[in-house]
Amino acid sequence: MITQDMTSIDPKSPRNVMIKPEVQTHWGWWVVLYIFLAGLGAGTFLFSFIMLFMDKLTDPARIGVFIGPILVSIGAFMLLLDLGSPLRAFRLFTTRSTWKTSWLVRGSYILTIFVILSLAYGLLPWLQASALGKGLGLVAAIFALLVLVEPGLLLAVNNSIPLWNTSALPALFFFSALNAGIALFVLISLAFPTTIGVAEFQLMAYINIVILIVTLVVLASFLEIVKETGSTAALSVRLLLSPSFVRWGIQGGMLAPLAIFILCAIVPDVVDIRFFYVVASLLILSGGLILRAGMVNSGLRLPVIS
Amino acid sequence: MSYAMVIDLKRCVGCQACVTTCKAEHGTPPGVTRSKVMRKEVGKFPNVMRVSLPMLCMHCESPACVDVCPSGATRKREEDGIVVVDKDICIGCRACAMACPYGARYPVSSKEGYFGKTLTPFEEAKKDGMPIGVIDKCDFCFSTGKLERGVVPTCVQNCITKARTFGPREEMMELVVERKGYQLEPELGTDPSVFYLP
Amino acid sequence: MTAPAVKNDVWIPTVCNMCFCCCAIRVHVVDGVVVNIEGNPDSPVGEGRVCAKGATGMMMLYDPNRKTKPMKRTNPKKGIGIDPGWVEISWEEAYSLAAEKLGEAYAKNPRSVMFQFFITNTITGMFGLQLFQTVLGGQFHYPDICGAGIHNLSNFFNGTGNSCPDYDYNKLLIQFGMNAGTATRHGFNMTVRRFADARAKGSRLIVADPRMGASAEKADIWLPVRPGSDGALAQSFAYVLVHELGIYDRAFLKKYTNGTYLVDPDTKRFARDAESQKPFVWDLSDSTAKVFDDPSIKDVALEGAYEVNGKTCATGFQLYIEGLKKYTPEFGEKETTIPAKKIRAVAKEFGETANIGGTIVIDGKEFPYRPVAADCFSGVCRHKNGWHDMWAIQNLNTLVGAQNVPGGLVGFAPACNGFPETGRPKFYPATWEKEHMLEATTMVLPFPDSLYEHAYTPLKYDFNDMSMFHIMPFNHNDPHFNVPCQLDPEPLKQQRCDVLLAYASNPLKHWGNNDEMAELLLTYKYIIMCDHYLNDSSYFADLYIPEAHFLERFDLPPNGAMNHHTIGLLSTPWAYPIRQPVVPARDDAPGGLDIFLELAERLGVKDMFNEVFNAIYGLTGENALDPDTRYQCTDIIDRIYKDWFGPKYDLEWFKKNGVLTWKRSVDEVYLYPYTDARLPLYWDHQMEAGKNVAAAVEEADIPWDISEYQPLPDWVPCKDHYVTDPEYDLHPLYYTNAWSVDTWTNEIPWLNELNELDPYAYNIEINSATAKAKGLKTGDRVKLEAQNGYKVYGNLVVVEGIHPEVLAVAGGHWGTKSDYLPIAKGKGCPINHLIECKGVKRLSHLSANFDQCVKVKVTKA
Ligand SMILES: Nc1nc2c(c(=O)[nH]1)N[C@H]1C(S)=C(S)[C@@H](COP(=O)(O)OP(=O)(O)OC[C@H]3O[C@@H](n4cnc5c(=O)[nH]c(N)nc54)[C@H](O)[C@@H]3O)O[C@H]1N2
Ligand SMILES: Nc1nc2c(c(=O)[nH]1)N[C@H]1C(S)=C(S)[C@@H](COP(=O)(O)OP(=O)(O)OC[C@H]3O[C@@H](n4cnc5c(=O)[nH]c(N)nc54)[C@H](O)[C@@H]3O)O[C@H]1N2
Ligand code: SF4
Ligand code: SF4
Ligand code: SF4
Ligand code: SF4
Ligand code: SF4
Ligand SMILES: [Mo]
Repeated sequence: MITQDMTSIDPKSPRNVMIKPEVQTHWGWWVVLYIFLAGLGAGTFLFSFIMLFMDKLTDPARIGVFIGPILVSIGAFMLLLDLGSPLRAFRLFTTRSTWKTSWLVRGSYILTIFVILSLAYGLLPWLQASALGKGLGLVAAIFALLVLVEPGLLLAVNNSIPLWNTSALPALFFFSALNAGIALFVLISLAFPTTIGVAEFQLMAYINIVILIVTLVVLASFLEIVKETGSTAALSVRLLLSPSFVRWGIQGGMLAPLAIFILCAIVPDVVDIRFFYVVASLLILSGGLILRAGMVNSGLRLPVIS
Repeated sequence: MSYAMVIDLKRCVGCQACVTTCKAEHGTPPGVTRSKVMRKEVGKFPNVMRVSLPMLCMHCESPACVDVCPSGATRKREEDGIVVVDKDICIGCRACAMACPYGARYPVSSKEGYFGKTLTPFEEAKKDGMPIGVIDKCDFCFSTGKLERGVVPTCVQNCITKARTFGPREEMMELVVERKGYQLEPELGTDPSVFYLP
Repeated sequence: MTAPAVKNDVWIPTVCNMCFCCCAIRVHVVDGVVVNIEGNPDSPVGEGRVCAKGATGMMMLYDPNRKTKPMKRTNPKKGIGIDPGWVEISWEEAYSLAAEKLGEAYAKNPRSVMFQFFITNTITGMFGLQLFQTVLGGQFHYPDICGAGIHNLSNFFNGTGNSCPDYDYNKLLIQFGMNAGTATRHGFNMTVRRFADARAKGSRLIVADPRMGASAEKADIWLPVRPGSDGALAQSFAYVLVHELGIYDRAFLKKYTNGTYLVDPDTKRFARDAESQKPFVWDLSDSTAKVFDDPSIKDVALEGAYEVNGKTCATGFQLYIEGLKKYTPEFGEKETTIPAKKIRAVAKEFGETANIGGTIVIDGKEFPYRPVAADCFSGVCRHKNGWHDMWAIQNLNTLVGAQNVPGGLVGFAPACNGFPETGRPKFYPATWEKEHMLEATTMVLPFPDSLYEHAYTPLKYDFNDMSMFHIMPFNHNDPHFNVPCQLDPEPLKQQRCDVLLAYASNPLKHWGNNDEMAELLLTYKYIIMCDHYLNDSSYFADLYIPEAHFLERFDLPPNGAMNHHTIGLLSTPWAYPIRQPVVPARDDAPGGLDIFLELAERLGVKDMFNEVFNAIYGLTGENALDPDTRYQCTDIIDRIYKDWFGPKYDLEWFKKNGVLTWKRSVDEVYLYPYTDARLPLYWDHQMEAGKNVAAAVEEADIPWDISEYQPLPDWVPCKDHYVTDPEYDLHPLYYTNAWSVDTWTNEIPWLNELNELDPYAYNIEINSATAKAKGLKTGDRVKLEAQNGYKVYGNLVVVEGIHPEVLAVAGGHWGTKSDYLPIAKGKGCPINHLIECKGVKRLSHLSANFDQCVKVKVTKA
């Protein structure tokens, strides 16, 4: 058997120069948008639901539980558009037994159930207070959790793509999506200047700081874990950590908002503080999108070595 | 029973006849190469080897593509082990293409033929077998009825060095064992039915 | 779904023409549409398989860019990229224009017409040559860069113009500069299976090639030689065999070569018996000089020098081995860059595997058995010194007795006993009785043509024949001097041609610098082109005549006696197939031969053209063509086959059955021991030829180099080996891959797709160490510039499988600029653009080899 020194191979060199890792070409922007929007929507819903549940920040939370499923639906629609034969999408639900193995089928059910439950919860505010409503919301929240991990699992099952083929990926997507959800929540909060004051914003800053740090830790360990799994994975990581990704995805999308939120937490009452919240949240959202795009576009396939 | 194919790399010269004859048989559109020849280089000058590696669907015993298929279009036939795509059912999600470690699956996405929008009479004649929006892949020439007619697949029949042998897996295993053949990426657990002889 | 209507579904046997190998195919036609092409298992030519190119026939057939109507130019301005303003014309107008222009030129001076053809559809091209040269008296041209010299060397050694290793019995093959049976060469699709069988049986392959091509990829040992140094390598092998190991086949050399003939030390010519003019040999048994065929000879001397008529005359073999003395493996290492140790090891393996003295019984007959061969082709031919290099390589076979015997090097089809029912066609190589030398049946049609007689024929310079055949007795194949002469007739006091008829050929691309070739095409007053495409050369054409595609036309019998296309060997039955249309021709375009028959009629030479067929095919009785009748291609095929194989085997039989085959027998494959005619070891006849050439050029006062006329092979470096400027440090070279043909197949989209997917084909390969030293990397756009200032551009790919002094591209004549080839346009790197065409410095004056060895500097573009 022959082995090959991967480190000498430039993944951007002409195709098939050798049998070398190649970037997957099958999934692109539609799928990135799906992953992003589904995560964002579920994250927004989840956070909003928790806030409602805890009776905190209820004004934006009421909007959040409603926007969440809408975003998830748009995300699902993106996935639909990505299909080669979208008119046959009904087969996702009509085929027996594929749910046992296919995350696309499972995802379709999860998304559908989530959207129905969460919309019911979000659209019927009178329900939210009732026990039934709380129960419904709780089930929706559980499905939101599933929606948060499903895209990661969809990618992670591909053992032909080592960058994805790790349980750290769903974890990473989970936290990052939650993060995005909270960021959107912050933006929604801006619409309620009367009920959401300095203290409330400060609370959100703290939450953001925690989640951002957790996400960073998960990202770092994800990269470490993946790097160790083999040369293709290591190459993928190199490809992922392109200068623009580092700048806009990590520095801009995570470190900068972290710094801003820390600033906001320390000095909560500077003038125009809201402006900082807007910037930080938008950076988190764009960072989340870049993270997913980077992840999908750096999916190097294992080379076929013999 | 499962069919298997054995490719003898001692014989193969990387001539690509298996690629174009497959195209002639099935009329696959641009970019779709059910059959292809990969090239690699090993070592440092002057101690270097170049290897041509013909590839096709491995018709895995544990195919990674089947599990991920949401529509049930992809399945492994019990009677002969051939992994087929039912193009009337496939929704074109490409999960299978993503999962297949061997790059054996190609989405057909464009109406254009090799000469652009207007298809040649040849392409017109083959069009029905190549619907748009679904996956195409090697089917051991099942769709053109070769096996039914008792003929081996085109790329086997035509291999100009006779590097390819085709038959029931049990029979092929004798050759594989004798010549110390191997599968590609066996550690992925797909258990391919295409074997290579060194 | 409605029930499908009953389809008209047929498989039609015919012959592929995607390259010149002419494999038998069967074409699946459903309702008039070609839906598949497969090999025809009834024929040994392809054995039921097609190569990558063969399977794409219908992609060319249905290519919308194929031009199928005659056209004439309306814009008088010619040049690449300048729209010629083609307008479609009727066939009547096309024929009358062609006949008018040709007729005028022939009337003025027949030699002012140039007919150019080449390798695609050689069969029809050959008869174009007959019409426009033999019958009408014009000149002809083709770019036989690949075959220069080698075909005539094969004529000298293997009784026919093409040879190949006896793959069925060979155990060790050394290939120099070729990918025969792995990607290329005549009979590719036949060789490739036999060669694979040989590998599977454990036969060893050693490949000398600066690049790891298809053959080297399969080799047990790769010898990455410096380009143009093959002669030095071969001579070093011979040195080791002779001077270090003492391995050579003494019995064979004595019996089957002229190495025993004694050489006069003063004249370097054979010492001859004054009266009979026969060369002397030395009989050791009674220490006397005797003429070589003296029946009293008991023990002929192979080595040593002996006193004859007061002079010490060495044997030719003795002089050969003395000549080898300078080619030590260390010398070899210096010139070829192959380590001396490796040279020794390879020579030893070759010598030991040769099994000298061994025999084998095949079909009840005992033969010497020498399962080794050294083979070479176009990579060696592409150098000015190619004749000497290939000769040195051929001598390796002679040295160990591996010529024309099982396991060794054998001719494609040196002999034929004929179809059993009729005994036709029948041929056997003659013997040149004066020195008892083996002659050849030549390579295209079995026509006796004695090269030894050419050597002895006094020559006269012809001031109106640019081919220079008249002063090149061993070169009647390669009219390459046409190129410098047409560009500038002055130096050799020649006259240009005025009208060019280019049939299936792309002169702008297939030779050297494209601008110089454009200049050459501009020297013609009128150019007629017969092709399928408007290629680069078409920008200079005045009249375009399309030929029907090979799936739409009949052609003269494709393989058959034309052993140029098909290898021989015992395992290959004789095969006579038919090429026939499987679909009607688009726009009713006729086949090439029908075009020529029409032109013959219009030019008033129908009768003489008809006689040509009678002569070449030896047509007799009622099958002979009547001089005054206008025939169609089909009439002629019908007559040829009926005449050769009997009335049953007429056109209809062939249309239905596709191919006629019968078994080949041992005496048609292995000349030894069926003949005792000798092979040349000491080339006294070459000295004679040189003498005649010298006299002719002196009389004509022509500058002409005769240094190549030597009795023994010698290696000299190529022109550009002398380039010392360290900036110009790399040799670009080209190779052929198994799925491309010449300048046009990149237009076939499947083949273009293969080249696009291939890491190498459209890029320039460079060795990783060289790239590193120059700070270059994969993907870099670079400029290659030769000392003459010519430049080309391309994209690098850094690899290991290439000599550090070398750059390699596929094709080397790609990168078409024709807007009419939209798929191929701009793809690949045409390195032959770096080679100057003017002047004769790059041409062998003996065998017309074109030296494509250049040195370039590479810089980022
Ligand atoms: N697929 C295919 N087959 C063909 C053809 C075709 O176009 N396509 N064309 C047909 C024709 S016309 C011909 S002539 C034959 C050609 O058949 P080959 O002669 O086998 O042609 P190439 O593959 O070009 O082989 C030349 C080799 O020589 C190497 N080379 C270059 N310079 C040198 C040198 O100085 N020394 C040595 N030792 N090697 C050198 C090149 O790297 C290359 O590998 O093939 C015929 N068959
Ligand atoms: N750089 C470089 N130069 C080379 C070579 C190389 O490998 N590299 N190879 C050399 C060798 S070995 C050779 S043999 C020559 C080859 O030289 P040629 O035989 O002259 O080949 P091309 O120049 O490609 O021209 C072939 C033309 O024939 C047309 N054609 C194809 N099929 C048919 C047909 O059936 N009928 C008609 N009428 N036309 C047809 C094609 O469209 C194309 O325009 O080139 C030599 N020059
Ligand atoms: S046809 Fe046969 S020899 Fe040619 S590349 Fe394919 S497997 Fe190899
Ligand atoms: S090679 Fe790929 S497509 Fe074929 S059966 Fe295996 S996993 Fe499926
Ligand atoms: S693309 Fe078609 S065959 Fe592939 S997984 Fe999706 S539905 Fe199944
Ligand atoms: S088995 Fe048939 S479909 Fe599969 S690669 Fe070979 S020719 Fe193509
Ligand atoms: S070798 Fe030439 S003639 Fe034979 S199938 Fe290939 S292209 Fe056709
Ligand atoms: Mo050639």
